[in-house]
Amino acid sequence: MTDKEWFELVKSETDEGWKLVWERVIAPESRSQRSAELMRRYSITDGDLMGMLYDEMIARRKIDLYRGEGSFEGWLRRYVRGFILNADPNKHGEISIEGAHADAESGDEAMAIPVNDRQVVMREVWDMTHRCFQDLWSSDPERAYIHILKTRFHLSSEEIKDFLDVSSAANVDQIFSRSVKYMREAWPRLERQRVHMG
Amino acid sequence: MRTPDDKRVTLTFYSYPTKRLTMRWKAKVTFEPGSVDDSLATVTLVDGEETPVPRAWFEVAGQRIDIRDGRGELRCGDFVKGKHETPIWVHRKGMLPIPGALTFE
Repeated sequence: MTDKEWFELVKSETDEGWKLVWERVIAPESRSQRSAELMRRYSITDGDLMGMLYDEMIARRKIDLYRGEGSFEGWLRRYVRGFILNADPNKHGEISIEGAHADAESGDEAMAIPVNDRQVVMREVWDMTHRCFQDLWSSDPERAYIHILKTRFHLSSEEIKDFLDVSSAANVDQIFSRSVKYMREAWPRLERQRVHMG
Repeated sequence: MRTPDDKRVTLTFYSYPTKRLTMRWKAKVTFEPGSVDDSLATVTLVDGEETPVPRAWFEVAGQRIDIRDGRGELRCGDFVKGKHETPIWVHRKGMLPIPGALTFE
């Protein structure tokens, strides 16, 4: 089935067209790592997405905004992603996709489709930091203790030397800088592993 | 060893995630200001539902700390002696031992 045929089926509200929307757009998007995490956080189900899309496309005739540039599937998925990214109730007080959609009619601002979600990115960074830290722990727990005492408790090298019975403050500094280097090097390796596993 | 006179340091250890919350645990080891080798660090242990663990062994720094009603003690000198020891476990009777790790909290 071509995009044009699918578009017509969706527009004419046929079951066949909307079944494909479910299979090609809603189901894969709600399983994608980023959207699944946000949906869980904002309590959005895939049924909500389907209802929203139907309401927007049919009841509000947004389907007429599709100009055939790019795939129909990609266009719909972008719409769904925009909806999910903007569903943060703290941001709007209500769920709204208006500002997220490229075809919204409020000038340049409408083109600002969010490409990532700061909270999700921060969570990923946090998770990765923990992975690197665990890696550091496995290499030598003393390094991890020094890292925590420096960065979390802001102890001086002299204080850490006394706390952990390290031979000198200079040695504490050396271990700390090595631990930072170790974590920096571990990051890309663990990131590759995560992508590979994920 | 000697901890700073003006700072209380609390190290937090978390279990690796398990399906059941009651299997999870969180342990805090608190060093009072000015602690020396023979001072005792306080250890608290709760499960994933923040309930104090009634009876367990908390294994850290090469020591097995006896936990009763969510509390135990660790000699500061022993902690420093075992600063290179990697294993961290909580052993509870009738439950699988669950490993854990030091965190930033």
